[in-house]
Amino acid sequence: MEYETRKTEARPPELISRAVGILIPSCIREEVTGDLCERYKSPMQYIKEVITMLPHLIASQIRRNTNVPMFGVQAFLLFFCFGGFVAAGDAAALDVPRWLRAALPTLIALGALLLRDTYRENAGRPAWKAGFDVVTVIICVMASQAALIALSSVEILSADWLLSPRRAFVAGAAMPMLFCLRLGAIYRLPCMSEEVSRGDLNNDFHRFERSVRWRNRAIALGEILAVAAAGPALFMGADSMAAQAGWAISFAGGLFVVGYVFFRAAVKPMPAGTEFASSLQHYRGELERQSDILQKVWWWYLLSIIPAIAGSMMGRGATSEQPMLGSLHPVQLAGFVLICVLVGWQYTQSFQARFKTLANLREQTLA
Amino acid sequence: MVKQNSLGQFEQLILTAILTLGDNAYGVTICAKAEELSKPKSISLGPVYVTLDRMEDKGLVTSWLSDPTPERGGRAKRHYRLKKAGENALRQSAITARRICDAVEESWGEKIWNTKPGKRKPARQS
Repeated sequence: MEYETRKTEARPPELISRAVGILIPSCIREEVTGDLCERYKSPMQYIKEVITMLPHLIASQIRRNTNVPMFGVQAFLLFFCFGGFVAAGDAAALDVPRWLRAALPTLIALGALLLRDTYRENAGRPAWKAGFDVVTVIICVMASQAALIALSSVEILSADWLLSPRRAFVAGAAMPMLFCLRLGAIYRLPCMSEEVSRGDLNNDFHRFERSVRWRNRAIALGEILAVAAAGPALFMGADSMAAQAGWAISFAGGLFVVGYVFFRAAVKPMPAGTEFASSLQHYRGELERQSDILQKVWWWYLLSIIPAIAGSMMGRGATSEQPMLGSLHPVQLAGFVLICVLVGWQYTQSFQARFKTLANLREQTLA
Repeated sequence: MVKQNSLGQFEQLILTAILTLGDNAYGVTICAKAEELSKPKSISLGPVYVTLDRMEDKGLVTSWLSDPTPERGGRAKRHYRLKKAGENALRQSAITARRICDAVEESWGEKIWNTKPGKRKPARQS
């Protein structure tokens, strides 16, 4: 059976066509709107087809663009910062359980992040995209809180559904961490096509270079802020020599990581005028080096946290019922450690996936 | 041990459609061909795109954008082609289907291969 392209004057109305263009994720917009245009018979058929197709397209883009382990870490971070893990006995009795109060903004934030994953443009700086993700989350959570205020003012909902000012402050302080996580998630770039040109390779390498630069800045800034802001308070709050020694080692480890990332983890530029195979070799080499650096960096992070935990435990006794490290609960601390480990693992996975793609590419191109 | 891609029925349909369409395999034509292959079941574009995306991620098909055409409102088509892994997976599925068919024919004692649906040949005389 021969399929001939339908040559017809019938076109979808401009207004509907534009609206559909907005609804369809940008990376598949061109071909999908073209296919819809080719199948156009009437406005009703067109709208019906779009409505039935859209959930499939969104689900597919979420599957393709969402980094599942990283998304899990983000969910944990948000739920944690909105107070989902605060024990019931820690506060006065509320109408709404704390986990439920935290679940609402968490779900809204995650929904916003999923939609950002679906509709994100491929081009552009990773840092801008990650920043826009964080701003989207803040706007959505604030809008949901405003809606809750309105509902509680007319007594439809209890005021206990609202986040307390202290909790909102903690959640706000977690946004830089969310930014770093998003930066890591965006790192998982789409697969290269089989037939890649020298120009494509150069463009991809420059994106990689820029992305690493921003990642290094984010790691360094995050660590400096953590050491400068939380460091003195944690160090002074530690009530024993062992705990203070532990924290001191941790801060020194953190500063060492900053220095290492800043001075050693930059991408070496692609030599000018090299052949395709040499460029590819350079790219592979840099990916391998960056992967090694990240593995080391994240292990150092972890190793620098362990002395602080060990010192505090030795100071106060591991079996103590009292919360240790001032206001930081052991569960919260364990959560932070878990985030560090998962982020490190995720970075490594991203690099390995990319490395594998490049390895396949080389086999195909140089064969 | 080499990992084999096992295909679902819908994936087999889409891969067969791409194979038979050759250079003219893009969203609309793949959907039409898959619908023809799966008669009387109708197929909409949404699941076709999802399956194409998934198979592209699995390395079974490859795609590229063609030049824009006026009949599509000046928009490009995304063409698809089977990759080696896709061909192998489809071949494996076809062999499995053939084996199933042979086993069924043997059990029922009648030919169902090359028989149009609804027109069963009379049972073989033993």
